[in-house]
Amino acid sequence: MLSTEIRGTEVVGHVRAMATDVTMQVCRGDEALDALEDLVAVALRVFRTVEQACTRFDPQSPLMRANARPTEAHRLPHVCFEALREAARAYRLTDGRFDPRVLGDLLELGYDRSLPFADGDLHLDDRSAPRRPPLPEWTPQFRAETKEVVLGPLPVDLGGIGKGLAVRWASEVLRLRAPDHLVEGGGDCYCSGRAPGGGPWLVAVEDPFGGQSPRAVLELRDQACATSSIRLRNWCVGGRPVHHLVDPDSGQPGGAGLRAVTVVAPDPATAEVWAKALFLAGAADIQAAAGDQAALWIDDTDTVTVTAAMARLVCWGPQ
Amino acid sequence: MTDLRCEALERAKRRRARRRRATPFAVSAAVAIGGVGALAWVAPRTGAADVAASPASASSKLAAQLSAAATTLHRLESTLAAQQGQIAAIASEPIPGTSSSAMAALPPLPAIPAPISVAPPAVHATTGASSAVP
Repeated sequence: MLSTEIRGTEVVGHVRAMATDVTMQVCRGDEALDALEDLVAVALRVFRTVEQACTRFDPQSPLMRANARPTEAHRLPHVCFEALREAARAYRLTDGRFDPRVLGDLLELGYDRSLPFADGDLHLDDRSAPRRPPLPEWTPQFRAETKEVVLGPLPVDLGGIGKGLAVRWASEVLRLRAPDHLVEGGGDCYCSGRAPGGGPWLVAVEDPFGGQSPRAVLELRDQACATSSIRLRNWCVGGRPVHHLVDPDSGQPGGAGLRAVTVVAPDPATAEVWAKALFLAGAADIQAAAGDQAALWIDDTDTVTVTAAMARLVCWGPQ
Repeated sequence: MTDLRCEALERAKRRRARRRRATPFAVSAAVAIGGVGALAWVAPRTGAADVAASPASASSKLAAQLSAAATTLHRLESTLAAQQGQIAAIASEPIPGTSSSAMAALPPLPAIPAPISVAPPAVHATTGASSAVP
């Protein structure tokens, strides 16, 4: 499932990990192509390492062992420890709009396993998922010397940040010897340096209504982008349509009136976190929540809106 | 009394005769004065040195030019009238294979499609539906 190949003056790598297809495109630069191929293989393995450490679908993963007794201290592998610390940082950065403690809500909604979203028409009628009061403040404890973590009273889900972190760490592996590269994993991208030909990397923003044509094309250089969308991960609970982006204040699917939010940021994990946090703001409040960030959103009426910072990156799309 | 009346009548006849003789002269003089004045006004504006130098010949030349222009104008008006007549005749002729009823039976034109935008450029990656939960 992990492969690399030389295409002209580039090395292209693929791996299936974290329930998505990861692709890397690396420009040769000064490196020998076979050495570059080895480097790409190492970078691809980063995704598998993050998956093994942070998955919630394996009860024996380090994360799930900590989740099983969240009030106790757990010594964790470096990757899982760092991912939890980044999640806590994102929680503070977004004033709690990004909250990994929505795991319980996802389970209530029936998202307790890999669901066949791609098949469509998914109904889980034995669930109810009632509304709940806001969660108390999250105050996990970290001991860097021993890599120990106390999560707090509630288990956590790293689904909203793990992929962005994997993209970040894979890019850091490549950057040492191949400054011009693209890492793309299920919609989270990091565009380092220049694309083949010397120009910027071009990234299409997918149509959340399923149309074949993108809704915008972005020009990125040393920037990351991520999208939170409900196009794929949506299903019905008791006849009620729900999706996987849960509002920590209510435990219910959030982002009323929105279909997708794309954010560009210097770091892929930051872009992923903000894409989710802005989505949860909903159509009514996203403009204010976005502030001066580079953000693009598509609402239920199929209207595309971009902030001023994002408009500077759009080379094709909403006129 | 009769003599006096006859003399008065004679004097009146003579006055009328003098007036009749004097009128053409006065008119001619007035026209001449007016013409010279007009030429004196026109010449510096047209730059026609010969007109100013020779009012009489300039006047006749101007008259000839006016006459030629009038002739040309008349000819153009005639041509235009003829062409307008031809256009009216063509417009009133029915188009072969059509009639007002046939036109009415035609299906309505389809709605004008929205302008086709320029195709998106080739891209290196796509950002979209998140499909990963580690």
